[in-house]
Amino acid sequence: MSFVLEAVTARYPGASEPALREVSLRVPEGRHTAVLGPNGAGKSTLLRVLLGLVRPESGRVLLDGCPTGSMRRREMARRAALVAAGEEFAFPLTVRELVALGRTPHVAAWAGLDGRDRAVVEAALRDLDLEGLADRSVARLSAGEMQRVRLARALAQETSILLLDEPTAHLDLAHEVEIFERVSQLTKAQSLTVVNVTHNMNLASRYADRVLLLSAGRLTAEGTPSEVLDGARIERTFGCPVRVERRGDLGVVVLPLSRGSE
Amino acid sequence: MRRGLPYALLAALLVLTGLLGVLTGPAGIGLGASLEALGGAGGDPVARAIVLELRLPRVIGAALVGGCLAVSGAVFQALLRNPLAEPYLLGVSAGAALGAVGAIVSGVAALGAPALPLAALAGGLLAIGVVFSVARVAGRFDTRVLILAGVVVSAFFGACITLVLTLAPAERLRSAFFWTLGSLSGISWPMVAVLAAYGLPACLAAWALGRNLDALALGEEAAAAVGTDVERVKRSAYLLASLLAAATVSVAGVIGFVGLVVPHAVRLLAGSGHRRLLPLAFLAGAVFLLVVDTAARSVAGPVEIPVGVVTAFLGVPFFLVLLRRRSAP
Repeated sequence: MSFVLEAVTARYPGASEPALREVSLRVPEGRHTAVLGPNGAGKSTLLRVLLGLVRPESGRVLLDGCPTGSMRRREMARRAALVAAGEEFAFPLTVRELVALGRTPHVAAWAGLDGRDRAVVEAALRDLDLEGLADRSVARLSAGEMQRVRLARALAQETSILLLDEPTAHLDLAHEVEIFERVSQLTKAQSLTVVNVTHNMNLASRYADRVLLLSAGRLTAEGTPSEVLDGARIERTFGCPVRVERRGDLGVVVLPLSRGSE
Repeated sequence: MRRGLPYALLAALLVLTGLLGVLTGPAGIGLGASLEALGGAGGDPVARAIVLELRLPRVIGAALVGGCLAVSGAVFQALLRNPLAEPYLLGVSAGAALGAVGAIVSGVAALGAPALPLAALAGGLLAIGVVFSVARVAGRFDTRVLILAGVVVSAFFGACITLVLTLAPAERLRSAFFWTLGSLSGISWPMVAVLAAYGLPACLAAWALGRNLDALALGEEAAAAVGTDVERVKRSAYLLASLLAAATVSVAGVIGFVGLVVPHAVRLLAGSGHRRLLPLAFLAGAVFLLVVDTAARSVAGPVEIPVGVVTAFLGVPFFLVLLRRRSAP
């Protein structure tokens, strides 16, 4: 299962400039695709267009060859799950209750969860080592734990596509690496298709199979990490000088330099 | 078994407080006579009439009003993602009060028993209609606009009430004023029947929204991402909660506090998941208002203290203790 975009232009209501301009791409199935680009380049909009949360002004989004425009929310939520960084909780649910919300698209609104639903929720908790926290209120979790809970909820949705919107924002180094590692393990173990919007080029180059580079709403480069992460291109796109080193085991390493240094 | 315990406890409490309510009153009918009247066989016909035609509908009505208010409050809090939300925030009570006060002052209320609740209901529905149509822009339902529209409509109807009361003849002023304080004393069997026929299905419908209300607590985008039809859920939640509030106001006036505090108390004790919260809030609201009403009509002898005063006197200390105990490390 995978997404195809055909010349998609998207604009937020009232905005003068489109957030995405004529973007055409194919999300490779069963692979981890990282989406890089400066703030405001349209990365998050791309995820929202894929999920149908933002309707394109022109162009089409296809999921397995079917236009997503006519798809119901439940149907979409059975195929693609979203992990974002910044939701707030009006009322604190427990970790298990929050993960169980991943079953929403699979059960009738008025019905309770059946045995299989519960088993899926427990498996998702287990996959992310959350069993010990299952009955804790989400208000009492650390940022790293919270992100694991969001991943578990996405797993409980049993989708083949996982969309991540800056999943490691606000996380320290160890937790950031942990999230990337877990996502990459899950991608392999469950052959998930992952689209990961991130600012961390180094981890993207190590864990992602493909990289998309967005700039001012346009798709400016697409390919393997070592093809896309080129010093001159990064400098042009981000307006910041960098030194790019290619290390076999670590992938491409991008070192930002100070603006005046070269 | 452990998960069923709160339901069983509250249901048992509901039966006990209901019995207590039926046995309490200024007429001094003994326990035996009351039970005899409830049993339906023989006994003193006056006692029988008091128990069956005055006390029993009032007790059942109090339970229904309390339950519906608590559910309405819980749904409003989820919809607006705001713990301070309550059933009367968005103008329903002001609209209903204007309808009722207008009916009392103009003399329409004296035309027949159903006139007053109908006028109140009409006022409440008018407020719901205005607020709903203002908050619905381009097919979307903005909860921030909803709060503002509700508060402003509330203020406008409040000003209308003040104007009507100012112009009212003195002998009608007192009854109009007391109506706005809320009272369960006027509840008759037909009102109980209407409230049950209308409130219980609305509560069930709210319960069916439960999982979607949980999802909404994460924010609209996250709710949509797990498959919630966010616009439909917001619309249904607003209409159900408002209609529940309007129904209770039309039979019992404005009884504050139940819809604000009961959902919070239940959340503190039993968690925030709405599929569990809503039925427990219904039971807890019913028990709470029954206790309050029984106290209101018995502590000061023949004088009935306005029920809204007692809800605050009993509810505030209880809630503060709960809040303190729960927020302690």
